[in-house]
Formats: sequence, C-alpha cells, structure tokens
Amino acid sequence: MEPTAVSEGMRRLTMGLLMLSHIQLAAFIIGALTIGVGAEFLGLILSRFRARLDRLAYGVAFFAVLVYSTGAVLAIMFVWLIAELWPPFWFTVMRINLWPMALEGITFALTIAFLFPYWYLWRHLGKLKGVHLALGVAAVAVVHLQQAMIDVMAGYMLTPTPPENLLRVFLNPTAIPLDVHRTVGNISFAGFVIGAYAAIRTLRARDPDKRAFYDWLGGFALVIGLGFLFLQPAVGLFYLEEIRWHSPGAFNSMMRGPHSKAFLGQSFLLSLIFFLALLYLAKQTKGLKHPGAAWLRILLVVNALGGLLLIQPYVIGPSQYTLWVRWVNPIGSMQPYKYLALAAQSLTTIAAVLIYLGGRLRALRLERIGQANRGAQAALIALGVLASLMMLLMGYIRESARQPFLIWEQVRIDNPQLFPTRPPPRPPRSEPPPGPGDGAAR
Amino acid sequence: MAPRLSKRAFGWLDRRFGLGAVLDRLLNDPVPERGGWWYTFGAALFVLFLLQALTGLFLLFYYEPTIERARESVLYIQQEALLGWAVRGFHYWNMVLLVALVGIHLLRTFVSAAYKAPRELTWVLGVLLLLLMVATAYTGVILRWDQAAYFDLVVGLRITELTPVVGPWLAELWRGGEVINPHSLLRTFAFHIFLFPLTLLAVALVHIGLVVLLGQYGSWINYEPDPSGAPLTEEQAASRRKLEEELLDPKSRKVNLPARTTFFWPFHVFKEGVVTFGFFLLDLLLVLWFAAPIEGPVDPATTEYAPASIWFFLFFDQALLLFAGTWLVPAANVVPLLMVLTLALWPWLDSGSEVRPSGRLASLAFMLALIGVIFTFSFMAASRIYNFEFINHP
Amino acid sequence: MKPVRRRTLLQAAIAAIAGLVTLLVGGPLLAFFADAWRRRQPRQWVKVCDLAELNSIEPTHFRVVFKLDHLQGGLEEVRGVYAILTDKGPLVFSNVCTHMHCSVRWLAWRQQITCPCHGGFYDRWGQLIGGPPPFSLPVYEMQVREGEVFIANAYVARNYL
Repeated sequence: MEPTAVSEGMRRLTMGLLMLSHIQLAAFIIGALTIGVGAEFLGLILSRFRARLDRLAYGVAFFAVLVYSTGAVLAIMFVWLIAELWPPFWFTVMRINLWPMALEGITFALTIAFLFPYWYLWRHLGKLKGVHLALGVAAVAVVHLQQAMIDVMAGYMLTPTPPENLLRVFLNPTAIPLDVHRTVGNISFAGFVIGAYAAIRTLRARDPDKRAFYDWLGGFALVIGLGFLFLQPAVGLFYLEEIRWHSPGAFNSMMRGPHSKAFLGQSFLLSLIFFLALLYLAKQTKGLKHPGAAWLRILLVVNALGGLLLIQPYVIGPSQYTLWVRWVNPIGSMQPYKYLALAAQSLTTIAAVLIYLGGRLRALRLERIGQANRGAQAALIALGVLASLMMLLMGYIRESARQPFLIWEQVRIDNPQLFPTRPPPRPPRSEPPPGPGDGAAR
Repeated sequence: MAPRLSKRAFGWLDRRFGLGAVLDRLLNDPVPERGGWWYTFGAALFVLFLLQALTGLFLLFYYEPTIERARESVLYIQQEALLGWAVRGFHYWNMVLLVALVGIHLLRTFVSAAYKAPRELTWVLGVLLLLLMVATAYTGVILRWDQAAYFDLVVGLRITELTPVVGPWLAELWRGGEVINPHSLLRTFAFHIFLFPLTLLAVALVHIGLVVLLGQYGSWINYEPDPSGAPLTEEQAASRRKLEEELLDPKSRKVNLPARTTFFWPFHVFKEGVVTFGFFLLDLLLVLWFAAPIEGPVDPATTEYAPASIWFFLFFDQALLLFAGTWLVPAANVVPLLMVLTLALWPWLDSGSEVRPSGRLASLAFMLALIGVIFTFSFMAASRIYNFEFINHP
Repeated sequence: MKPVRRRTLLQAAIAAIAGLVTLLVGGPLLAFFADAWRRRQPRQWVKVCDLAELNSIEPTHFRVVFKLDHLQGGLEEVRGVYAILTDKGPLVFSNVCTHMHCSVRWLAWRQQITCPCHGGFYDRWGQLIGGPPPFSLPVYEMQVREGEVFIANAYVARNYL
C-alpha cells in the first residue's frame, strides 16, 4: 500500500498542533478537577469557607463539562491521524500496550460516567453532600487512572521493555515517574490558569461580593500553583534518572545536545514565574501594617536580582573551576552561578508564600479582600500565560528528546512505513563471576 | 452454702492487694463512645506485639547468630522444622502489619488531636515507639544474613556513619570494628532480641499508663452534640455519672467529658478484640498465602545483585537520590532526624486549644504532605528498583 | 552556719552510693561494648591477581579475602575490587560506592562502573562522573611483586577526584 502522501514536515506539524492543544485542555481538566473536588472536600471540613470552596468546585465542574468533549475530540483526531501518518508505529505501540489501552478505554467511559452526573446532579443531590463528593472523588480517581494508563504507553515509547512481559510493559521505567511528574504539573498548571481567570474576573467584577470571591480565588489558586511547582524539581529528578539509565541517548540529546537549549527556555519561564508570583504577593499586601509585608518587598528585590542573573543568555562570572572543587554538570550551559540564582529565586518564593500564609498577615489581608491591587491581577494573568507556555515547551522538549525515534531505538519517525526493528544485539556477556570461596581471578 | 471458689479467691486477693479497686479503675473506666472503632488500633498493636515477641522467642530455639550459620539456620526453620515456615512466616508478616498499624494509629491520633495538652508526653512516647518498632523490624531483617539483609546493614551503617561529629564512632560501635565482622551480626542480634523490644515494652507500658491516667481522649467528634440525638442507655448513663464524679475529684488527672461515654469493659474491649482478631486473621492469611522471603548467601563482591531496601524504607531510599554530592550526602542522616523531631514536637508546634481539623490547617497540610510523599516516593522507588534488575542485561 | 540536717546528709549519701554503683557497673559495661574502638584490623597484604590478567581497557573484577585475626577464630572478610592497568601501573580500587556503600559493577554496554542502589556512575578508573555519590572509588595501596599484584587493607588518596 502506498504511504500517505503528506510530507514529513506536515505530519509533524499536524501532530504537534493537535497534541499541544489537547494537552492544554486535558492537563487543565485533570488538574482543575483535582483542585475542585479537593476544594469541595475541604469545604465539608472547613465550614467557615464552605461557600467559597463550593463555588470554586461548581465553577471548575462547569468548565470541565464544557470543554471535556473538545479535549476528547482532539485526542480522537490525534489517534486517528497518527494511524494514518505512522501506521506501523501505531500498530506496534497499540498492540504492545493492549492492556494499558483497554484499561484507558474503560476509565474513559468511567470518567464520563462520574463527571457528568457530578455536574448535572449537583442541585438534585442537594443535602446528600457525601454522595456528591463521592461522585467527584470517583471522577478524579478515574481521570488520574486514565492518565496513568496513557503514561504507561508514553513511557513505553521512551523506555521500551520486552513486550512479552506484561508486567514490565506496565512498570516500564518511566511510566510511574512520568505520571507523578505530570500529575504534579497538571495541578500546578491548573492552579495558575484558575488564578489568571480569577484575576480577569476580579478586574471586571462590579458586584463587591463577586469581586471578593475572585480576589480570594486568585490567591488560593496561586498558592496551589506554586506549591505544586516547588515539588517538581525532586519529581523531575526522579524522572530524569530513569531516562538516564534506560535511554541514555535520549538523556544526552535532551540535556547535553542541541535540544538542551530548550531547558534554558524553561529556566527563563520559571524565573519569570517566580518573580511575578512574588510580585503578586508583595502587591496584594501593600500598605498592610505587618513586618511580613516589608519582608515580602525585600524578598522581591533578592528574587529580581536572582532572576536577572538567571535569564542571561550568555555566560559571565566565575567559571566552574574557580568556584567548585568538582565539576559535574549534565545540564547544558547552566553555569554554576545560574544554579545559585535559581536557588535564590526558589527559596525567596517559598519564604514569601510561607510569610503570606502566616496567621496574622493572612488575617489582615483577608480583612480587605475585594480591594484587589490591579498590578497584582495583571501579574496573575501573566502567570497563567507563562504556565501555559511552560506546558507547551515541556511538550516540545519531551518529543524532541526522543528524536529521531518514536519508540526509542526501535521505530523511527522519519520513515513512516518502516516496521519496527529491534536494536542491534548487545556485546556478548562476559564470563559469569566466580562462586564463593574462590578468592582468585575471574 | 459457701461462696464460689472464684469469689473467694478474688476476695483473698482483694483483701491483700486491693485488686478490686485496681480492676474497677482499669475495667470500668469511662471511655468515649462515638467513633469507638477508631480507637482500637493501639490495643491491636499491643497484642500483636506480644505475639511477635512470642514467635520471636520460639524462633530463638533454632536461630544461630553466627555469620556462617545464620542463613542456614533460617533455612532450617523455613524448610525442615515442623511448622517452622508458619512460625517464621507469622513473625515476618506480623512485622509488616505492626509497622503498618503504627502508621495507622499515628494517623488516627494525629487527626483526632489527641496530642494536645495534657497528652503531649503520650504523643512523644508514641513517636519513640514508632522509632523503636521500626528499629526492631529493621534489625530483625538483618538477622537473616542473606544478600538483602547484608546490604540493609551496610546502608544502615553508612547512614549512622554520616551522623555529624560522632558518626564514625557510632558506626564502629554498631559494627563491632572497622569492617563488618561476626560481631556486627551479634550486636544487631542483641539489639533485636533484647535492647529494642524490652525498651519498646517498657515505653509502651508507660504510654498505656498515661492513656489510662489521663483518660482516653477520642476525638473532637465526642465533644459535640450527638447528631443522632438518641437517649443514653443505662450503661452509658452510669459511665457518664462515673466520669463526672472523677472530674470533680481533685486527685484525678482526667480533663475531658465526652457527650457519650461507655465502660471500657466489655464494650470497648469488645471492639478492640474484634479489630485485633481481624488483623490476626489477616496475618494468618498472609502466612498461608506467601512465604517469608529469604535470598542468596552474602557476597559483598557481587556484580549481579541489585539491593532493595525494606518496604517501609523505600520512600527514604528514593529520597537518597536527592542527597547527592559532597554537600548533601551528610544530610542523609540529619534531615530524617529533623523530620522525626518535627513529628515528635508537633504538640508544641500546634499547641492551641483548637482540636477540630478545620482549625488546624497546618497540621492537616503537614500530615497530607507526609503521607503523599511517603506513598509517592515508595511507588517510585519500587518502580526504579524493579527496572534496575534488568540493567545488567538490557 | 546551720548544722547540716541528717536528712540532707543521708540523701547525699544515697546519691553518692547510686552514682558509685552506676559508675562501677556502667563504666566497665561501656568499655566492654566499646572494645570495638580498640580493634584494628591488622595491616596485611593480599594477592589480587597476576599482572597478566589485567588490561588497560576495562576494569577486571576480583574477590579478595582479608583476615580478621584480631577477632579470634581465624575469620575472613571478603571484598570485591576492580583492577585496571594505567600508564602508572595497575590501579586497584574498591567496589564500595561512596554514596551508601552498595557494591558497584562494571557495565560493558555502558562502559561505566555503576551503582545499582541510586544510579551513581564512575569511569573505568573509578573516578566519579555523576549521580549521587560524593567521591570517586577509593584506591588501595598496591604493590607489584614478581608479576603479581598485591594490595594492603588501606587506601591511598587520589590526586584527582
């Protein structure tokens, strides 16, 4: 049969556009649903804030139901098109991942089965908050499970395992770390986007009650976004370790090769995110009579200095040999002082969040809820855009790390009709080590 | 007709030792009623611990704590001795259950705010019990002296060595020398069968004594009006009267009056019995279904074996990936110590009088973060270790 | 000065007796336990292999056995070592990872010495390349005697990390 008459550039462009837009919606739905149902649960415990938290959950559920079909359609188009454009690859990966994909299909159905009643039966269930919450928790659980199954397949593409062993396919080295990384990332991303939406609504609200709600929501969503963002370095390290071990070529290409420049882009976005988040916190507490407010300003200055160091595209300052005893740097051209700058930005942001959440300052801030600072809202909107850009860049990094393969070392992207070939045989095993008591040479 | 023998025996003891008063204080103690099933884990822990000590004693009749014979004696127990697989299996699976139960009990106590004044010391002793339980389990695994046990010991010694200032000396004390030698196993053996369990028992008795002295707390649910609105039964009313009297007595240390109480014996003891029995049954099922593990003989010069830490340390094993480089490796000892210290000193970090979770957001967040990290890291470690098995021959 | 009360005197005496007993019992017990600090493994030289078995391309793995004569019973301690030829002669280094002391192994397909515990990796001469470990693999004191490689149970400092 003739291959589809579409150029390679067009294939990759189509795939890229479909995938990136799908991820924006799907990642947001997963993250936002988790935040929303979590808020509803919190509302049950914290009766003081129940009204606000329920309103957040309601809004999230509404949006999820609104865009769910769009996200799903993009995914289905993706599935259909990739079968047209890279048939042997798709056939291979779907055949090997039969059970993960079967489970994914079931969870897809279950998500719909739980999500839509969660939204539509909200009023009907009325007093039965427990049942409603159970529906929400079930929806969140199955949507996470759905993502987990997709991550099994995505992990397989990067770190393939012998397909005969089903357990090894499910537990392929990057499946779980990718899923954890994505889950944390989704919640963080959703936090920032919800914050941006809240900022827009705050600026446009005329009704003081509405403005108070959206002002509160902006801060709440930002803290969630930042909080989960802080977890990413550790979780990302675990993911990177697995790639380094099981697909070292991909690791090298991503961290040391030409694609490593993309990480400089990520650190640039991260630097902006930290700065703008701190700016929001500082502006929102402007004028409050509390030493914490002054501290936030000091931290903002330190943060800005760190950011200026971090975003430089060229290298100035002491080199690794004069500053460190040992030079181990697998990450592109991040000179040591850039790590320090990043650390300074992270630490100042963490400290700022803790100060902002501290009892007295928070109480003062909550007293004047609704008098939102306009500059702060602008920062929040920018944060949403930046988080979105980070997701797009992350998607690009992910795909380019695996180039030129679709399944690492087995199926290439540039020849769509090639069926998979196994990698060349490894060098023969050396002799087995001596038994105990031998004491001599091997 | 003379009174029954049991009554006469009881009377004899009562006249000499005041047994009646002691039993009355212990058995007829008024305890909170609502949520009673959640307050049974401590009792289950104690009973299962006694069973653990019992099976451990019987294992002592066959185990040889020497480097040459340790693993073989364990194999003898597992394969040759009559029902040895059952005794050893029970000792192993009970260990798993005990460590899990400690976590569950800690979680319940934490959520109920049962560490608030005047129960701070009970909580601190509880954290100490957690450490002792984990230490006992860990040293017990080393006694197998198979590959897994050997590397568990190696890593434990290394982490001890990383203690600031005194690390190398402490490690040498445990190791019994500069390098691992027969004394290492013997010292670990002494810790496992004597030092840790007896300390655990002593601390547990003080811990239980404090609970009895200060009165069982329950949780905030017990101090709010009962939504069911059901009237008190006769026994509940009697126990409440007893508690009210005790609260008026200036000598009593109790401070809380739940809305609904019941007598410890037999109402609460029944719940404790059911839960303990349930865990015991789970133990038996695990013993019947899965054999206790034993791996190959110790070979420090191995190039094939990929060590995996014990299940309850998996999360720490994953975190060790983060303790990298000259600066951070020494922190591998300090950071866990700080976290345990934070946990132990939590009553002073959250010292307000607010007991409902809604007023203790920081506590909730701390515990959720802790559980989240432990579970996520454990799964990631399991996946990483599972896949590293194949790294030699990709 | 008020005369010392009999009660105070007796309390002090009890404290003194208790302290004395604690010292008399605890002291020797602690010393007994800390005997470990006195015991040093005697310095010994052990043959690793013949010089002809080594090459300069890949490290070769050997088991060496040291004696623990300082503990009675003629016991032995097994260690794994890697040996490779360099332009300065044979280099023999330990197989104990400097992170958490797991046993490392040479992976020919990666051309690296790797640690299975947390993924630390070293080059063929045991020098640290990356991962969690803080230092390179320790190098043994080595002597070549008549075409045979011997090592002592002591390390030398690397002049490169």
